[in-house]
Formats: sequence, structure tokens, C-alpha cells
Amino acid sequence: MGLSLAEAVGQSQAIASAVVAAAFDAIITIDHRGLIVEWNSAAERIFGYRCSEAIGREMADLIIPPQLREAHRTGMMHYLADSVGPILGRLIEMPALRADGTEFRIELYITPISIGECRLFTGFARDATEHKAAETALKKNEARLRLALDASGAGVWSWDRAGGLITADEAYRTMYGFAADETIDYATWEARLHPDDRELLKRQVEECLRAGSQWLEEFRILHPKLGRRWLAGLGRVLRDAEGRVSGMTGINIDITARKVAEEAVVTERKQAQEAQRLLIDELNHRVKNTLMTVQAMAEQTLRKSKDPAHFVESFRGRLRALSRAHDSLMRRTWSGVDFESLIREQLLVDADQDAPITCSGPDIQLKPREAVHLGLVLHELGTNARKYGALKVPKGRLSVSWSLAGDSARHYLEIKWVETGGPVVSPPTRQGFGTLLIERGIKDSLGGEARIVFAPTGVTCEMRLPLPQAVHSA
Amino acid sequence: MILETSPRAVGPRTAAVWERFDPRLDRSRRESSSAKQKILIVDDELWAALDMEWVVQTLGHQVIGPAATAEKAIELAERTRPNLVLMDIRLADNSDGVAAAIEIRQRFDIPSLFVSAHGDAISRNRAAAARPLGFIEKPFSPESLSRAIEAALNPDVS
Repeated sequence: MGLSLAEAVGQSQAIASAVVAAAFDAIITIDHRGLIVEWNSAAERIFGYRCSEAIGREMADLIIPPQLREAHRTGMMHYLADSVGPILGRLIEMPALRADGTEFRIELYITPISIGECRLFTGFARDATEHKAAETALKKNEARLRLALDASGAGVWSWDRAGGLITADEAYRTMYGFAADETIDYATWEARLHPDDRELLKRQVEECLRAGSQWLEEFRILHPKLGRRWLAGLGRVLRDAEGRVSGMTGINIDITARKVAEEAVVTERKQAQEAQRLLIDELNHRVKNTLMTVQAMAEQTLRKSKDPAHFVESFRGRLRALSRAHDSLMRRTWSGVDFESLIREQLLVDADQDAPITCSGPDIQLKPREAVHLGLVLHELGTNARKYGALKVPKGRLSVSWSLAGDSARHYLEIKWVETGGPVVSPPTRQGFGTLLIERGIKDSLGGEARIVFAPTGVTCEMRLPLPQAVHSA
Repeated sequence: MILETSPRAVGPRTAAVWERFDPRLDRSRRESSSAKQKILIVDDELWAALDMEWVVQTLGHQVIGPAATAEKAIELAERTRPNLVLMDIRLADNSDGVAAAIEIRQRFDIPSLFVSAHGDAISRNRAAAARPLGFIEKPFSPESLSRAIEAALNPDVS
């Protein structure tokens, strides 16, 4: 059964009223005087006036900020006079007032309506505060992102799978050495990759496209001008409206400085390990050589000993002389030892600080090898002096003097050992082991000469040994 | 008596103490003999050289040297033409025993037996260029050195 015209009109008006009432936007209608004739629920919510409060009031007084009211009224008058209304029929944004007096921004669309002679204006208004805030936040975020990208030196790229082209920002182009107007596609990009990293990265990208995931890698490129550069790259797939992978986007960061620093650290670590290995090898060599000396000392001393007591005394003395020579060197971290200190440490043993020994000569620094051999020779001479010579009696005297001789090509250390005031000396009938150690220590090991004279007044020993240039300081 | 001299007659007790170290006993056990040979000792450490001399002499061979430097070793090898060289690796004046052994082998065809504290693989590989007859690591025992010398001088005696 059909509706009557009156019923149909009535139903249509009811629908229109319901739509207006239920609309999300404020719908405000004013007449040609600017008085409000329509004020829906959304207007109540947005502006804070109930419909009953708003109807019949001039809209300008109610919701337009005071500074804009005259402009509004003038604009309405102009429109009514000559139908020119620059703000009509388009979306504008403007400030508005709430019932509580607070000002806020609205988006407003005003359309003129004529019903018979009656000239009306209907405005559709929406609170733009949230929209505005979201827009401001978006702009801020974009600015922050750009700042972050600029600060990190990151280059942004995007690859369109169908077209094959890569679009990239300036930072990316600079990073890879692409000109501003140069077309970049997958092959161009691939050609820039370092040959050693190319396959790895291609596999990553292919896997990412297949799985629809992302890739993250540190890799090398060959920049046309700068050569090898290290980049960190992140790529993620892009999807079209149907969810199909349509391309990829991502960023690159130049991490060459960090990588170079890391490589330097690795190199330094390797060098340190190598230095440590050499040090351990050297230590091992010295320990074995010292053990060899101690073992040979024991064997040869034993071979020349009358009895175990004699062996113990001789061997212990030599071992201690070796130990003292090492101590002297240790104090100078094996860089060398001062000759006078070596003499005193070898001769003034067992707290015998008052022994009548005089030393005279220039400052001379001996290298480790010379110091050890000369230390052992001094020990043999000193032992003999204490057992049979000048240091055996209180009146005895020992003088050790030395000087440098030679020319600019070769330097010699000349040492003179003179004992006086001791028991009368009679020359030995055959060469003793101690004499042999002195003479051969100087001759065989140090390439020098030694001459021992058994004068009745005391033993003298003259030694002359070559010194490397760097060993001494006059 | 001035300066400690060689011991007089070694008593039976003392002899018993050190006869364990006498390479001659080792040699007699193996019943190998070789005619008196000349052996050049190259070592810049007096005590090690003395120990080697003792082993060489008690085996009945003649000691040449010792030389403390590579230069001296080559000079002695050229002049005396020894049958064997006992060669240390690190020598005085920063000279190199391996280089000396190579030169002595090449110029005079005299083999070396390395006696060194450098027992690592790098040193042995380097030393291999001299085609040495053996490598004895310091500190050595007189027995091992005497066996190595005998083996070097009598390559056919196993």
C-alpha cells in the first residue's frame, strides 16, 4: 500500500531531521539576519550550547571569536547584496568559540540555501583540533626522522619491482657515488657491490622477497671515487593493495669509519699477540740457554772437583754469580748494565761491603751478553782473590780500573785487575780451571784477550774486549 | 796454589759419582768406533761450548773452535775443513748459525748438527735448508749429544 503525498513528505522530513540529528558534524543553519534556526546534536557537543540555548541567537555572538565577528557580518551583507561570498562552498579552517569561552579551530563548509524568498546559510563544522594535532605531530615526526637520517648520514631508497627502478635520496646517491640525475636500477646497484659481498647480499634480498620479510646486513661497496666503503643496510618489502610484494624500501648507513676502526683494533690485537708470542719464544730461549749453562756448569764443575764438598762450593758460587748477573740485568729490564755496578755486585758478596776494593773508570753500559760473561769472569777472579790472593788477608788491596780504547770504527774496553798486599804468589805449575774460565770467557765468548800474570806481589789480569758502539757512554 | 787447578787423581768415590755422565761409557756400550775426526764447535756461550768440547774429546775426536760468530765459524771451517759442525743458531754479534751452516754446507760440503735452544718448528724449518744431520735441543744430555755425533759421523751404523 502506497503512502499519500502528505505522508511521503512527512516521512522525508523525518528522515532528514534524523540524519541532521545523528550527523557527526555540527550542522548549523542561520537565516539572513544571522540568527540560528537549526542546531543539531553534534553542534551541542562541539560548541557546548544546547539547542534551546542556541536557537534564535545570532551565530556570530555565539561561536565566532570577537575579532572576527565584524568581518563575518560584513561578508554576509555583501553576499546578500551581490551574491559574492568568497568563503562559501569550500572547506575553510578558522577559529571558533566554545560555550566555556575557549577558542579552538574548526573546519567549516558553508553553503547558501534559498527556500522561496527565505535566504538561509547552512554550515557544516568539525572540530579540527585533533586533526590539527595529528597533522602537527606528523610534521614533527617527519622533521625528526629527517634530522635522524641526516645525523646518521642514512640514505633512503625504494625499489619498484615492476618498473625495476630505485628511487633514492641525495644521501644514498652520495654514499654510492651516483650522480643526482643518474638512473638507478637493480643492476646498477648490484654493480656497485664489492665482488666478495655481492652473492651474499643478493641471496639476502632474494630471500627477503620470497619470504616477504626484511634483510639487515653489513657489506662493502666499491665507490667510483672513494674505493672500498662499508655500508649497513636494512631493507623491507613493500606490498600493494592486494598484499602482494611490490618492491622494497630501506636505508643505508656508511659505517666505513667504524669498520676501519674495528679493523685497526683487530690488527693491533694481532700485533699484540704476535709480540707476546715473540716475547714468550724469547723467554723460552733464554730459560733453555740458562738451563744449558747451569747444566754445563754442574757437569764441568763436577768433573774438576776433588770431592762433593768442593763441587758444592764451586758450583754454588758460579750459580750465584750467574744469578747476580741476571739480577743486575733484570733491574734494567735486560737493556744493559753499568760496568761498575756489575763489578761491585760480583765482588762485594755476602754483605762484604768493607772489602778493600777500588774501582775507577768511565761510565760504561754493557749489553746483556757482555754483562753475563764478564760477570762470570769477575766471579772467578774474585773467588781466587778471596781464597788465595789479596782479599784473603786484611792488608790486601784490589784495584779494578778500566778505560776505553780504539778508534771510531771499533771500541775496546780495557780492564786492569791488580791485587797487592796479599800472600806471596807462586805461579801455578799448570793451567787451572779458573784460569781457563777467565781466559776463555774473554777470548771465546767475548772475542777479546786476557792475560793473567802471577807476580809474587799479587795477581794481575789485563783484559781487552771489543764493544759495540752503542754499548758504552764515555 | 793460585787459581783453582785441575783436580789431582780422581778418587774412586768421585769417579763413581760422575762416571754416569761419561760419554765414553755410552760409546763403549754401543761398541761403535770411528777414526779421530775434526769437529767444529760454534757456540757463543762458554759453558755450553765447554760441555760440547768435553763430549767431543771424550769420544776421541779433535775439537776445532769454539767459534762465537758466524763469520768466525765460516773462517774456521774453510781453514780447518772439519768433518762435522756442532752449530748453535743464535750467535754473538747478532749473527745467524743457520746462515753459517748453509754457507759451510754449500761451500765446503761440511754437514752441521744443530745444537740450539731454538727447538720450535719455525727454527727447524729454517735450519732444514742447511741439510743438517740432526737437531739437538738445549739443554742436552751428554749421552744424547754423543749419540747424535756418532750417528752423524757414522751414518751407516744404525
